[in-house]
Amino acid sequence: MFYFALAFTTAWVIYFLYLFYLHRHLAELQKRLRARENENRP
Amino acid sequence: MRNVLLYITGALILISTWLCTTAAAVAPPDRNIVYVHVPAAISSLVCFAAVFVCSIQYLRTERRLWDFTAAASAEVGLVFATVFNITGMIFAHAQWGTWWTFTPRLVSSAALWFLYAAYCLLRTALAERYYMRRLSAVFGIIAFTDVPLVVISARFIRDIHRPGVTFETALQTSAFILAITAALLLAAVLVLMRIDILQAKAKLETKTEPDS
Repeated sequence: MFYFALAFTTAWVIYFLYLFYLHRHLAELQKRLRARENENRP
Repeated sequence: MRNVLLYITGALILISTWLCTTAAAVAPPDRNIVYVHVPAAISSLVCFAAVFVCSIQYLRTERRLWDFTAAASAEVGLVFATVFNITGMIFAHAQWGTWWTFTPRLVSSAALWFLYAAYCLLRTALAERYYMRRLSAVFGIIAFTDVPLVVISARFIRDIHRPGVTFETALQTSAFILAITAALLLAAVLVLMRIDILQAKAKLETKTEPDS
């Protein structure tokens, strides 16, 4: 059971790390979009 | 539609987690790894098959959506390949007392990880986007040659890695099938999210509608 718990925890840590990586990309895109909107504002 | 898929994936993951924990608790130690290791392996191989198909389609049609899908599938496939390689090493230590041994299945699985890591690095390495996309597509087709090796290596070559798995109870079988379904749905959701990000980035950078 210990090895299963270790494998399970490792798997989910990796999945959440990837989700965090996607979240950072999204945050960067939102920042760039807001900057573009501010540029276009008269 | 995307939100429905997300909620279904979340629900399936929760149910399969509960079921796998219950089924794993009653399974012998050499069985319970399959609930984590095998779904990750299957999802990664499906993602790499998607990279292969999308790369061919991109070279044929030069539509950027194929390129975005290939890139997204490669990244998500690499994540699942990382999981199945690491969980495989954990189980190797539990079963055989060593973290690693040079057998066809393990070596081809490790090679698979390095090939798709190289694919992801290639996409960031070239500044000229057109050549980057074409070169990545060619590399994606070549890298797929390792996938059949991973699949058949344990079945046709003498290997310490078990070629298949059997279950004794319906609970274990259903936990296994549900875990595979949940992993495949999670892979699909992650690929779709990544494609959205790539398309939005392309829109921002070119300031025109991307080729769809």
